[in-house]
Amino acid sequence: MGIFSKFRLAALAAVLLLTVSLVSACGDTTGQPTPTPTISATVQPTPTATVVATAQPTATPDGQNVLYVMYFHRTQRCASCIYAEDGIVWTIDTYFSDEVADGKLIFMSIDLQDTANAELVSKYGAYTSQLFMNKVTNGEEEIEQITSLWFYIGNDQAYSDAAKAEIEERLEYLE
Amino acid sequence: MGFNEFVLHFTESGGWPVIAAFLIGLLAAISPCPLTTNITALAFISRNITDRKYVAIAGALYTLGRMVSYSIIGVVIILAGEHIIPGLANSLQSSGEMFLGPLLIVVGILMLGIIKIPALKGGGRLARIGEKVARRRWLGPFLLGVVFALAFCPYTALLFFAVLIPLSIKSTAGITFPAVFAIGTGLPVLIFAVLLSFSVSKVSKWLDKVTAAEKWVRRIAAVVCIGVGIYYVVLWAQS
Repeated sequence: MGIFSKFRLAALAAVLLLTVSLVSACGDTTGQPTPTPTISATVQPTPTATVVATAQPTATPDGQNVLYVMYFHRTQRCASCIYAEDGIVWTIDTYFSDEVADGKLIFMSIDLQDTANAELVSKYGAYTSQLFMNKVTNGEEEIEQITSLWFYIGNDQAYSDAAKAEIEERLEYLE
Repeated sequence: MGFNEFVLHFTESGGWPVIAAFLIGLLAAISPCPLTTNITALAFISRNITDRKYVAIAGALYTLGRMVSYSIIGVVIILAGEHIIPGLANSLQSSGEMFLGPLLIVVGILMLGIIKIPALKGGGRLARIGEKVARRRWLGPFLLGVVFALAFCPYTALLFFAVLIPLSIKSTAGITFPAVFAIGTGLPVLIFAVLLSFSVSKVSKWLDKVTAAEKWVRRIAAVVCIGVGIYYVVLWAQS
């Protein structure tokens, strides 16, 4: 086999590798949380408490102040989008399970292309993978988009710390 | 501190928003989300791999195509107001998901040369765009830049519409930011294409196999286009 044939083989191998890397980078479109953050903290609970939006959130009926953490995504999802949701779910499960149990914190993951969610999508102005936090105090809603977390993707600890800080800041405001 | 966090802190500091626009573009280019389009662009631009001058100019034209798309979108939003973002971003992402796959398959097939152009007659606008991208030496890379910029992946859409556009609206020179962002998104492709061209042309000249190397690189580029095209079609069909 000549040197160039070897080069040709190497080139074909590179293409195969490329294809594999493409599939692994963006291949998960089902919304399954495969790349679960392995956040390097000491305790690593598995994310479980994902609430999928079925109802329209408004102020709670008994007038309790509440923080909605709303994660919107398109039906077709990329690795970063799945990571972002997993990180939020992990953070809520790890640090805010009491608030979730008390009904002070509600997390929702919403497919924005599902027509059943059209009202929510319109209310939040969602159009891609986006995280919103909605503080409901005395029946008044204050919706904010959180973009800073997207810059921590890939850094488990920093992502979780930033998500925790964003949630804590708003929960304190509700007290 | 990773590059991502550096970009966040730099952007939040508000000191040099134009540099922030460039860095946000760079971040969009190197994130896993737009990897498929970047690799396709790299393969496409490298099709005349041993012609380093062509690769450099094609990379620049590809970036220029991205600049045109992002600038038009940016200007439209700045003029019409932020309220148009959800509708515009949604329709761009949806049409990108639908058309990008078939377009890349057409481009790849034409690059392979297994189907002659007349066979694609009647294929409509998609075939005509595909033909221009695949056949035109200078217009091709430019059009590819235009199309790839319009096909937002979710992460790029977030960086462009939710981070860059608000930054543009706040700044006096903000109207130029989408173009600067585009340079950030195109630069890694341009640099890698030139590096690849430099390496391959050196190796192939040493082996005295310039023509054969070009033929194979062109075939590989075509296969990458078709492969990524099929990948996008499958994603679209699944969603």
